Amino acid sequence: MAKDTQYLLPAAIAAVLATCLQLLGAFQIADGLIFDRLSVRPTDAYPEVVIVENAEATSAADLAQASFVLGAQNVVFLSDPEGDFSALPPRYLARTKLGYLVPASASGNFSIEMAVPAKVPGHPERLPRAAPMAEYGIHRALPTGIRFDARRLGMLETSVADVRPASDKYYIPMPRNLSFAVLTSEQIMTGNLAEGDLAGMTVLVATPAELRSNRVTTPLSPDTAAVPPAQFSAYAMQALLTNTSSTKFSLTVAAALIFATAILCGLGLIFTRRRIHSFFLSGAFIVGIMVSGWIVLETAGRILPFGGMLSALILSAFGTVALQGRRKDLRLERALVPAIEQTVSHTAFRNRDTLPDLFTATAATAGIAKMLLLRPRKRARPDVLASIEAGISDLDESAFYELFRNFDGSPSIMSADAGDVLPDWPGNVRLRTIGSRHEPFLWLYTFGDHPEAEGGEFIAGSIAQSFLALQISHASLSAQQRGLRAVDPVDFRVVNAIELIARHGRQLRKAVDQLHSAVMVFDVVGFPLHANPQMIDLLEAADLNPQTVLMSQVIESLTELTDGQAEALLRDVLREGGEASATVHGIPGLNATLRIASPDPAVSARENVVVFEVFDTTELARLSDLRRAVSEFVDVQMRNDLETIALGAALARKSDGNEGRRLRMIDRIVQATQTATSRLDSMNALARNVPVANEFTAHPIQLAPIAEKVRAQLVDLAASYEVEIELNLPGVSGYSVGDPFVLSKMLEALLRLVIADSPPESKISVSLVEEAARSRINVTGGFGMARERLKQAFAAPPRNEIPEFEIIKESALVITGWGADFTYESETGRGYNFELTLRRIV
Amino acid sequence: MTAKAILIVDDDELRCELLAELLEDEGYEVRIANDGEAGLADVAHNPTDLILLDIIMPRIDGVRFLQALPQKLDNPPPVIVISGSVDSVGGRSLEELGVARTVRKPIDPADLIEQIGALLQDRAGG
Repeated sequence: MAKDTQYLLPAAIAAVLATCLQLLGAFQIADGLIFDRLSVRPTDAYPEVVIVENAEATSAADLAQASFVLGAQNVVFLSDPEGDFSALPPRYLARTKLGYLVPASASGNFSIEMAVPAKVPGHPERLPRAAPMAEYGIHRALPTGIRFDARRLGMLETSVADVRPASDKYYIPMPRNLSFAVLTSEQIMTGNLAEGDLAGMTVLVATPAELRSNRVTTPLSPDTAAVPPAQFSAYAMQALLTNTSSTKFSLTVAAALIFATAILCGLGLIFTRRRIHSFFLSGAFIVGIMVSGWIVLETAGRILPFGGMLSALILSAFGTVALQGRRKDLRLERALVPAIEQTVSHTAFRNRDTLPDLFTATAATAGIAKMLLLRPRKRARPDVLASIEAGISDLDESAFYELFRNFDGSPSIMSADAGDVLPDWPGNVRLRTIGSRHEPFLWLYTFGDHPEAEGGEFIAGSIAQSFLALQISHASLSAQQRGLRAVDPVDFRVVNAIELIARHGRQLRKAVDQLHSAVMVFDVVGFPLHANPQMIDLLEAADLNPQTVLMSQVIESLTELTDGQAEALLRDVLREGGEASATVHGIPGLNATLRIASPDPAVSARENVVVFEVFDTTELARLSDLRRAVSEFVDVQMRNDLETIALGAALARKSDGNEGRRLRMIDRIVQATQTATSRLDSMNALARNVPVANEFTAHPIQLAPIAEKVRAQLVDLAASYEVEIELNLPGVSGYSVGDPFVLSKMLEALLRLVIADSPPESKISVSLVEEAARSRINVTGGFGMARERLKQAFAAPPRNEIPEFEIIKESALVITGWGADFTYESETGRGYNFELTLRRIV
Repeated sequence: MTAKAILIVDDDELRCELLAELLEDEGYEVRIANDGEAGLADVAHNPTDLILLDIIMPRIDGVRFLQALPQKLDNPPPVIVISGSVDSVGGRSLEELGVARTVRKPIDPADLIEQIGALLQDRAGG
């Protein structure tokens, strides 16, 4: 809350500003117009004033007396008729007033500008009358009184109504439906009216001139001077008599109202969280001001400082919302910038200090023979940030400074000839200005003079562009981190960060979309931009840091390629674009391929990334193994069958008249042929099923290699338990029916169970016995557990703890489909005996 | 002159029958064992001049047979392996396992008879 009070500052400033403007009269028009809109509204009140046009021939006293006889409350002569009122009875005399027009006073002190008529006994009271007061051309007010010789004289209208408004001037409502009757003095005098027709009315006697000339503009007709002085005065008297005149608040009260409005608005918006709510709240305040203004005007006859209050409200609202927005931006910036920097620091930012090293490594990989990466300094030798087979002494300094003089610091990825600067370097020496405007670098390089050197310019351009982009992003994003004033707004920096992180997202997505693949994206400079979790696992398993690893290190660690081969492969990909791949090694149980891809730099200069992808080919390898097993089986069996046929044919040929033997041999040949045909049919069906990866269809397989492979996978695990796995296998395995993948997993799970429950220095036996029609694999050893407990574990495997039970249970279900069987015996202290029995192909 | 005794060790009964008839036509005395275990038992009790051995068999396969043979007999007879594709086992060639000759399946009957004759003649001469 303490912090929130800061938001009241705009409200306070708005209040002061609006009050000052109010005091300076800046809102007179606005206030007047609002008052006019309210004051011309129709009224239910009846006219209290009747206007009488006085003909010169009519005696003023007679007219007054006649009016009183008809019931008039007061008789007011707008100007002195200079008549003899001596005959007027005293009771009428007291209620007869004579007005005299006071001159306009610039100073407001009428003592020197007019003379107050002396009071004459037997003559009606003379009272000053002011001309209507205009505010920006609209006449709507009259003064309450005038100062005269330190006295304050009441005005004609206020004296008649015997009302003293609370301000120096009062505002006169002029309802559209209110009209005053205008009679002639003859009508009063000739008895056309009955007694009582003027009961309670104030008779305003005006000359023809006062009824027709000197007309003024009023709220009723702001564009036309339509209201004569008599009518204006009648409106004033009506307002005073009916107590509907209005006055403005004093400046103190007006200022207080303006302040209250601004502060209330500010407070309301502070607690409004959403911009749309602020908008509605401000609207509600405006409506509230208008409604309350109307109520105050109607009930108390006071005019609110509408202009000041509305201005204060609007200024306060804008100021508060702007401050909220700014503070929100600052908060966002405080929260976001470190987050951005932390995110980005995992890649490019952290490696910024190693940028020259990465740059050098990538340049060398790209085939650059010599290079210098320089940071120019004024009036000093440049700093060498990175180099390949070169030194600062290679520079022709005069040529370099000549070049540097023309260098305006603007980064550019276009290269220029720099042969003069480095006259001893071979080939086409080029210069590129890279880096940011604030931290420019000069990159001098050559690909040497071998025949393929020309083709290197594209990759040099890619490297330069990528380097430049990283520098710009870094300069923008790290300003605050380095204690400098952030020159870019937060949204710009967010965009920069997003661009940096999501740069080349198309390739990234394409790569990541590969099922089960591990993907890493490098900037062409060599920055690791992104590695997905699978790739991070792979790199960490190879003791590589995913945030600092070099491209060549990835290749060397994951494949069997040598340092030189990896460099050559990378160079080809960088320079020519396209893909290269190598077999991944060293990942137990996994057949995988490393694919390295990069767009052709000559075609796609902006997409300068290199994508590394390791994808699992285990399934492909499994299918390949199955195909091989099927073909080997067919090969073996067909050789046997053909051999039988050949033997039968040879014997038939040697029958030499022994018809019985000849027929017997033919019968054997037919038998062998049928067997061979039957085998081919069954193999054909199996071969068709092989590509269906997820159906563990049974195939002719050799069990001994499977057992050897599983043992190899678990040697390290067994060693960690100080347990030895002993294999007892046939020298050459025959063919049984099953799926190698399922059997491998099941055998591995069985062995893991036994290993985990084996005492140190013990042996686990895996034996394979192939009988005439069955093959048996036995896994024996371990400490063992009660058979019932083991049975229960297989029936309801404990999830998330020991997955082996689940694997064995599911595999056992699959193998029964092949006519195989899984049985087990176990006893605590006597060990396990798991037995897999499979059909053997005879 | 006593006929030379040949033991055929193969799990394919039909092939064994035909092979035996072929060899008997050439004047050899032929016995048949349908797996390695039976073959070892036979050779231990009967004089044998030559063994024709298949590799892939149940119970005791050809390789185990070759390994066990020297343990059963002090002077084991020569062995001709009839094999489809096996040239070596566990990194050891068939010759290293004591195999005198290898005949590729499917055999050419005339070639087999010639090789048997030549081998027995070599043994007799040696």
